Amino acid sequence: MAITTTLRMSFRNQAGKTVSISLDNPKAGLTSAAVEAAMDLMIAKNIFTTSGGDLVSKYDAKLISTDTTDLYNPPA
Amino acid sequence: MAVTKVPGNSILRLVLHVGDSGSGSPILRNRSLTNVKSAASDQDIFDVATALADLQDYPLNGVTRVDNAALIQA
Repeated sequence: MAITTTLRMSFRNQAGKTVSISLDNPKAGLTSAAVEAAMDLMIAKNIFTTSGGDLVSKYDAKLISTDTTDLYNPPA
Repeated sequence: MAVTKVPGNSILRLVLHVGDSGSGSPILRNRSLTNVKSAASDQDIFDVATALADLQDYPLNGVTRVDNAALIQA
């Protein structure tokens, strides 16, 4: 049994579509203020482009934990 | 027939130090973020890279910018 956590930050682009950027192994005790600050910086620096234009606003940020249980492993 | 160079999207690559191997050499992992504007300044890309690195566990070993361009014969 292994739990992996991913931080998924979602943005709206100029076309109104949602685009997300994910990071594995987020820091423990990540605050929403820290995540929001990073998202604001990404929008302000405006270095990313998408098929629907620039990132214009924050939409969502989630920590997603995936719990994986191994049921079968090939014999060695 | 001159060839012109048309820049395509760049890639921002975070090089993360995830641990050390048994013999002590560092184990590095890349996290690539595509769709970076070719016109983005190095400083802006670096600032975003460090901000993203701050959100995750592993120390940042380096930031790589990969630029692409298409060659077109006019």
